[in-house]
Amino acid sequence: MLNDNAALKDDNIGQVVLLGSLFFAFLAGSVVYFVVLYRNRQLKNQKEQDEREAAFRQELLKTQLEIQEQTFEYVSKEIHDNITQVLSFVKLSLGTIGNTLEPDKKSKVNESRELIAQSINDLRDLSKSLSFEHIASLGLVKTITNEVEKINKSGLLKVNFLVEGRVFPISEQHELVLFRILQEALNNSLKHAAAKHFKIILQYQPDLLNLSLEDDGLGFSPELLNNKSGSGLRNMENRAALIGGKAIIESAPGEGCRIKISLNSFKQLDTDGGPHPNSFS
Amino acid sequence: MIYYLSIIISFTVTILGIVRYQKLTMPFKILTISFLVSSAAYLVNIYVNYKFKTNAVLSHIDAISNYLFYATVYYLLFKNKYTKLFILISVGTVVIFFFVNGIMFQPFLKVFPSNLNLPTLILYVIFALLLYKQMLLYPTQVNIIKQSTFWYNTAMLFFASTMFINLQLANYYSEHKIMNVIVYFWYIDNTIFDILLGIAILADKKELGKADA
Repeated sequence: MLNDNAALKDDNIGQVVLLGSLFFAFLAGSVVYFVVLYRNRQLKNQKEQDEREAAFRQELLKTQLEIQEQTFEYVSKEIHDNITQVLSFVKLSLGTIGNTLEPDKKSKVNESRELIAQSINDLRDLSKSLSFEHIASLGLVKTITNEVEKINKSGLLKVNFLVEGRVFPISEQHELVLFRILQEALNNSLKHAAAKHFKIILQYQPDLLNLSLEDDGLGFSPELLNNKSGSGLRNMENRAALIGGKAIIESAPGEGCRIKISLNSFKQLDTDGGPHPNSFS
Repeated sequence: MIYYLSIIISFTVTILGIVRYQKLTMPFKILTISFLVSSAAYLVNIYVNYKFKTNAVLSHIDAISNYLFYATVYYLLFKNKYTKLFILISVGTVVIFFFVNGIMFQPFLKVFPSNLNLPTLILYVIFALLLYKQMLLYPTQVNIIKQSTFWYNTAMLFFASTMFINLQLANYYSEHKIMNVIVYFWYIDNTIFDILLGIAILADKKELGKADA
């Protein structure tokens, strides 16, 4: 009888140990499964991050080329329409100096000197705008101010620029992309919308940067955004998304165009390989 | 044998936590404090057991203090505000139930607080699964073996699920007169739990914590 009880007790202990072992095995298996799942997620995330970075670098390069192209166009136009004209006038003026009376000679030489000095200044300004590195050195606000001055000087468009809030620096790459979006919007207003006025508002909020662009041009129907012909506008949206921002484009025929780019400082992409993806560099 | 091993490991982890305290992130500083409190409670327990022949009071205090510490660690590890709110509500509820249970159902001086332990073990399992989910949603590039969160969570899942089953089987053990199994199981469980938490304390670094955030 005692032996039977002992055997029964051993059986019970055996059952408990077996059940316990099975449960341990199940638990260990679940943890291993989690580790494998986590590793797969890590690899997938790494791949996505690499792809995003590659796309960003490609788009950035494209942006730089476009800015360069636009700058070259502007420089070429400036040299042709302004500097060449002034220098030609100086050349003609100096060419006729031999036939001029003595008191007028001095005045012509002075006039020519002033014109040459103006051309030197213009050339200096042009040389500055030849490099897009000036965006990094000047910052977004100053670069936009220069661009606004340039356009206002040309008389093609009346541009109004307003900065609200306390200015904080954002990464050079993000500034470059925002500046390119602005250039593209200005181009559209000039070439397609026949706008007379253009308003730029740069709003700095504690965790948000808004760039609002508004013209009083012809406008367009919202369907244009979905068409191929609206690829410039889509481009703006894609570029804004690429730097972790959002672009809202609103327009209607005859009512101009409004573009708002919102850049949340906590949602920027880690494209600089910086220590933390959630902060402005 | 396993009893002494369990004590040695628990004290070793406590010392490890104290040595690495400055390098630890906030959740693991709190975990170290919980080890300190547990160690102090153990020493007090020896005296109380000798004097009053019961350790029920300390079991009650141990159960509630453990829950407060582990829930706080989870609170700090979670990102989701609703999960954080859930932890806060659970802490309030468990504290109220601690007094209700100790006064009405399982007196502080006489009975082991199984009524308090079982629900908190279920809560630990829920927290552990939710934290695993969070880890999968926001994976970092740090090797999982080097992540203190992983070790802490695995320790909690292991401890809570196995101890829950152990306590559930208490009646079965009693019926079949194999109560010593529950004791052995208890010590083995605690030893593995302490080792896993020790690895978590060892793996935790402030720098990694920043990258995980």
